[in-house]
Amino acid sequence: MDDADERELIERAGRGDKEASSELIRRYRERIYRAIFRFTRNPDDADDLFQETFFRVFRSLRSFGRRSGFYTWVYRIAVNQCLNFLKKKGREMPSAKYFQALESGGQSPLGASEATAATELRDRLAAAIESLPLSYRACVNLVVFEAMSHHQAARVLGCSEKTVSWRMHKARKMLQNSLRHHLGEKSDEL
Amino acid sequence: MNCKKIERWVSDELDGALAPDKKQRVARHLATCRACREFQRTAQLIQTESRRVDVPAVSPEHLEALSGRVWDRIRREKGAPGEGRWAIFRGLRWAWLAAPVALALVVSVFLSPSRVGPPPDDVFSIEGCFDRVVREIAGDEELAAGFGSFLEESLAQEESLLFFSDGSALWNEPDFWISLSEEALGWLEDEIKEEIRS
Repeated sequence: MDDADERELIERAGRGDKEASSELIRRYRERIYRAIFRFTRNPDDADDLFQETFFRVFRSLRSFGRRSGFYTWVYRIAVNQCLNFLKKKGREMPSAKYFQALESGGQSPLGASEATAATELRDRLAAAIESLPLSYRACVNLVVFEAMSHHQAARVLGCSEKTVSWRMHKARKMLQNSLRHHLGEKSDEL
Repeated sequence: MNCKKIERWVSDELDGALAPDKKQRVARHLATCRACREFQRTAQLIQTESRRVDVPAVSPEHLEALSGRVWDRIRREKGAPGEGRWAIFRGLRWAWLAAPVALALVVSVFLSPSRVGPPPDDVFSIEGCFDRVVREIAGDEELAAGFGSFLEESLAQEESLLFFSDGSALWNEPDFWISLSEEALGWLEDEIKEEIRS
């Protein structure tokens, strides 16, 4: 689909055309759902936020200024929804138990004891990322998982590229500190 | 060479955001600094393993069902006149909008006397911004509270957040105006006036 097609879809959706709205959702729903899930790590919350995101998208479609692409705009709304949701829920540190396990070097509460070392590291890594402060986690999600440039991530988060760069550096330091024992083991294997 | 700066550049390099001239300086430093080499090694490992962290697959049927619910909600909320929450807001709308409208008038009259009025959907003028607030934002208390609190916490902490690297201002972004609380609006009013003066 080219830009002209998408513009037409957006205009039709803005006028309340169900087919156009459905097509827009269909086009981006999987990527948006996955992005939301990376923040919530909970299917029920992801379902709710997915619906809320697209509801707000279509309710504010007339204000879509086309300065950014449609996907970027939807993505920004999704990220804002996730950040607000997690702040409201007070779940910036949902994985204290994981961190305790990481600190003590004990068995992963994710049930990875029977898994391979690589899988265990990934479980611990997922928990460590989930335990990052929200603003850092948002940067990691966008830059590492969504493969966005600092410029794109800055647009989504409404901050400067320097801020993204600084937060990525800090996030990496925090992850290294959390996983230092496991990183050493893993690197030896590699 | 400051190791902290090199670490930051190594981090940028992993994200593909490091300028070519800095890459050479990083390489020269890494050749002589074991601590920075260790940072690079573990950062790379984290990067590689992070990308292997899975998100459970979600079925197309489930996404279709969720999409259907979105449409149902839109239809419910935009339903016949007098239906749904719009009916409630319709009654309160003008009371809600009194403050931003008054502010928009003050700004238009005293700060931008040459402007005749905002063209539709013009977010690049102060009047257009407030016009958008009037039409799209005010009235949604939940969204206003959420985004307002986000603004207050984030923007107040970092001045750099107000501007993008290309010099454009955050408040010119379309979805910036999706929602503002009264407090955030007051705070932004000062910022915008300052911007106009400069």
